[in-house]
Amino acid sequence: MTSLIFRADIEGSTVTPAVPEELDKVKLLLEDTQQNPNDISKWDTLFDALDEQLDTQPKGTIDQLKSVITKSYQHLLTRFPNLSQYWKRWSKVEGKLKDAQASLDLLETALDKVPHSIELWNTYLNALVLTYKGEEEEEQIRFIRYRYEKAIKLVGLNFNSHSIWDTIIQFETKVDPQSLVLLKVYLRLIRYPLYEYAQYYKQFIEVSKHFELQDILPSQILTDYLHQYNQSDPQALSVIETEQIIEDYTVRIHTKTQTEVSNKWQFESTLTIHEFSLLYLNEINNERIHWIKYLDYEISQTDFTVRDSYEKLISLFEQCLVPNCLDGKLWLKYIAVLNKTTMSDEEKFGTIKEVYNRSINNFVPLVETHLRSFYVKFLVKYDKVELANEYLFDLVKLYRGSTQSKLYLKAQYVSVVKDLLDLYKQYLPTNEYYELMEKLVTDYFQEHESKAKPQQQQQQQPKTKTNESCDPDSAKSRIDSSYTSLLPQLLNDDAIAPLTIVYLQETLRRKDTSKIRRFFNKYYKHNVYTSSTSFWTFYVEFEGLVEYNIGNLNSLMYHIKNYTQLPKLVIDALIDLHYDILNANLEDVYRTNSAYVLISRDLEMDSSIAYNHSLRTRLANNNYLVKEIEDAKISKSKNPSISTNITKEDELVKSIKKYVGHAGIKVDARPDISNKIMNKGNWISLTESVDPPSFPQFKNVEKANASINYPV
Amino acid sequence: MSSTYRPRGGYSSRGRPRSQGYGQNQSQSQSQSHYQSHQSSNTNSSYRPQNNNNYRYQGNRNNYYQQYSNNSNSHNNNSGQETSFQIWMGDLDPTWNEEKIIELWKSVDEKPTAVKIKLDKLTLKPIYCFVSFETQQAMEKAINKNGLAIPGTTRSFRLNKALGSTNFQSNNNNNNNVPLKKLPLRNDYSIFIGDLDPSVTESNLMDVFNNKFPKQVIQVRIMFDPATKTSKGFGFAKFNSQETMEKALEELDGIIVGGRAIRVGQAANSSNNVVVSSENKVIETRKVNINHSQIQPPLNQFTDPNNTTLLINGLGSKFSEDDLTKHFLSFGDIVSLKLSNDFTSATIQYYFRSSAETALLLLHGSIINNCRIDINWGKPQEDNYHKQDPAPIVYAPFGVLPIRFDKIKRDEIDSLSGQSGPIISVNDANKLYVQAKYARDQLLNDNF
Repeated sequence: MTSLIFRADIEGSTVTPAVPEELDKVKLLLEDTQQNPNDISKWDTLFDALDEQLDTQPKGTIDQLKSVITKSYQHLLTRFPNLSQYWKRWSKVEGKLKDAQASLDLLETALDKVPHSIELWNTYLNALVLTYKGEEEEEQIRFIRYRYEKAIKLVGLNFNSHSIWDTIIQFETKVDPQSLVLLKVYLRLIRYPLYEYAQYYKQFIEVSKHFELQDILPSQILTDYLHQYNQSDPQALSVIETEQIIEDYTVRIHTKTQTEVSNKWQFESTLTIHEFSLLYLNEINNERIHWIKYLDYEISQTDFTVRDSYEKLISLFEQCLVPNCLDGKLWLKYIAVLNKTTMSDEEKFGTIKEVYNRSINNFVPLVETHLRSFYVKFLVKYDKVELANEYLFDLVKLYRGSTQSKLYLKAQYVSVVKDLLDLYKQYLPTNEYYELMEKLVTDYFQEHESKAKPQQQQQQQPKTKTNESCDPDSAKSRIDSSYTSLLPQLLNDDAIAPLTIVYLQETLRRKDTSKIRRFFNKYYKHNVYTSSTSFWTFYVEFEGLVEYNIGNLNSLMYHIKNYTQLPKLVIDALIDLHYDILNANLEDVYRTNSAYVLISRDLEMDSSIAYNHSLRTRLANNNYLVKEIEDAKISKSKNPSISTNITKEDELVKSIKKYVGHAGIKVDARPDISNKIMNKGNWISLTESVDPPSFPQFKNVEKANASINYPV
Repeated sequence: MSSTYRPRGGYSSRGRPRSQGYGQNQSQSQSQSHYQSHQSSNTNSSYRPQNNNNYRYQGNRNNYYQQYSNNSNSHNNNSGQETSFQIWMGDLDPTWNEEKIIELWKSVDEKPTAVKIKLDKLTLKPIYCFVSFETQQAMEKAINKNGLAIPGTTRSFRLNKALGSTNFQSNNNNNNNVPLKKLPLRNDYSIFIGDLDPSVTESNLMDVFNNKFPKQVIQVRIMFDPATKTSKGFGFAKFNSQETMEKALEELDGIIVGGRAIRVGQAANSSNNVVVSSENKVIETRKVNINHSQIQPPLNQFTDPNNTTLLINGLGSKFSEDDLTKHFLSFGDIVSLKLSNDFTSATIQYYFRSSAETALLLLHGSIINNCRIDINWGKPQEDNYHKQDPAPIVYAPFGVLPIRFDKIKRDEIDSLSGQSGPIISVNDANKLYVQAKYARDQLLNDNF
């Protein structure tokens, strides 16, 4: 399950409402929901309590309660707009607080946000129809018809939309059971492959009896039929002939619908969840595979040049994305389908943008960057570079945690920064781009060093000055320079390494190898690079595969193995690469006296600190527990120069030894013999006279026998 | 820290400090199966007057402690003690049977009436026997042969007076089934407490017990050596009801008091006064060594030897899932990896215990991405800890690089097993080699 973090969480737009003091219970529940916003049972208890309060509350404090209710529902539904049950519940509460119109208004707001929920549409239409009193109020009827037309457009093709159709039919029958409008509804309905298609067909047969032939058949088809009967006027047909024509016409439609339904049924029958629910996230995830099969089948059946055909598909996608609204990949699949359609460019752009916006802003959690990066590509494709730039800037800010909540999403942040750099590479003049990269990197270090060591600032001053001169041919530039000047503020430690690589690669393209090496010498010990795989891989490849400088490569590898904080997996890979490079350059190996690399590869990849010396050194250099012991020692001893790497490693080994045989459970004392006969060196001289050894003296026996402190 | 070795086990010949006389000694606890003669070779651990028949046997279940009391003459022998004059005889040759033993006795001019051999439950070899005599005189005469060489053999007599011999006669075959509750207990409900740290006082103990059983503990008493005034390391606690006592027997065993786990057991009877015999001025308390199993810590994520889940703390949102995977995948295949919602901690379940242990040992305390990483054992699920089963054995690595199982599909997992057996063809080996190089380059270049 993707971690459910939304824009609202980061921006902190859902502020905890002020709770009046007499509502202590509500306050507790409210805090509970703020801490576990994804636990729907917590919300349920809160809403139950609020309902109870609403019933018992004296009139005086009702305003405060109102705001608590509104804010609570808002909080939940901003994060999960698809929870239609809660919209319904809220609208009921709203009806209680104000009036029926307020409740309707709320439902309309809900439908703006989640236009494809059958449940919401149904509730809304039912409520709307209830307000119709049965009198001939033209205005009202027209409004209701307008609303249900919209419902039909959005969800009418949904396989399970019968409840909505029922409401519509009921309403129209009430208005006038023999109106043409009702017939038109039925005529559409019998073409739609719905779950209840047979029933609607039966109803249609009944209803159609009240109508003339020309009401039922479109004029073109009617003429064809008349032609068959050698008539020119429908009035001239006998009753039997009329019935034959109607039956023939409708049965054809019905058979077609029937095949469609039975095709759909094999997929629809595997789907049990049609509404989004936090309780069934796992089940929804399990049904995803059925959905994909279903969608793939429908895609294969769709003719993308025919609007009716692909609109059915679109409706299916919308249906699918009600329960699966968190799934960025399904949204992308939807967008790919939209892209295939033969809409006009403008319409396509509008539709796809709307889907992107809806998915990105309302549903898909922030951790999913794939969808967002596709959105940027989409904008670029339609030549909206400025828009893309703005959007990426916004995302960088969001992920960086510079907003209210301080939540920092590292992987997403780095990935978006990468996208932004790609965009710049594409749309900035090459020189300007390169200079921008250089400036960003050097500025970053300058700022850091000016904080740490102000005296060094002066040395670097001249270098950066040259970068400020702007490129005159900025006609190619599509990026507003106000953005690029803002960029340094948005870059943090994690962004510098990828930025550096882009910069170094560009430098390499310019064949300025001495600059690359200068850069290394200056910054390789810097914190931001100690755990950057790409930085070290770049230099290993640079020295080993571009420059063939085995000497440099060896010392580089030495540093990597002993001092960096790279994952062991990566270091192993680098060791292997080092080995391969050396094998391919044996001559240089002997010249540089580095043949040991050829035999030490497996040893250095071992995960035993007993054998693998470089691993031991590296771990000792990067262990704060060891460091603390070291620091304590140094502060005690008068001569700080005594501390060397060797003691650090010893400390590491010592601390690991405390866990030997029972990792995680520390046993401080191990019984030992204090006067070992082999204490001084691992040998006994046989040339000197050998005395019988004294009795062993033991240490730590009592301590070792003490009870073990197991963590609880 | 003392640098001298104080023998605790197996060095009985060097003598044992008195204060430790309640025995943690291996050899003692072994001998408890000879419930009547534990001290046959090691007599300095406790004293008992030879002719004082005040022991009452209470069944040989591990947790029951037999405890001496001097006022029990009246009720500790149910019947017919005079008719039974048994001695215990140890150090038997495995080949001897009852006839042989009677023959041996006859060769030293004694006439046992019966011999009853006890077999070791595991090896089914005789380990000791009871030899009955007709009269007390005959028995006492026989017991004087202790230590004499047995004619015609390489062994010598190891003899001792059998205790509570009546019980043995009547219950020889079903000792384990002696229903304890039916033994004539008095109306107080006391338990024995052993393995007390010398520093523990009665009030310490009372506090601890009262916490567990509020207002149900009547009295707590620790036995002190009257000469040295130091704790003898054991004591008794009196409860208000049978029920509480039984609960206490279950729940108090192994709890830590004064830095040490205590043992509890049923007291033989209730009057637990320290009694000083007027004749020899020696405390006449005695304890039978019980094969008490070593105290095991409760099963949780820290102590389950099959737990492969680690809890990593201190990530401080400086880690993406990808970073974390690379660092921890280095040590073996990962079953699942979950970052917490605030990105400050993570739970990683490994396939192998050994991978988890290596990761814990090597990376605990390390500084990565400028964060101080703390690693400890974690729970695979968020609810209470359940015992884990060991992972199924695999005979070859799953892939050229360790794998994250939660990132691949079910059918891919199935195709993994048996990918490379111990013997593979040259072609396959070449393929694997190329795969490994490819995986390496991907790993190095996939990064940012």
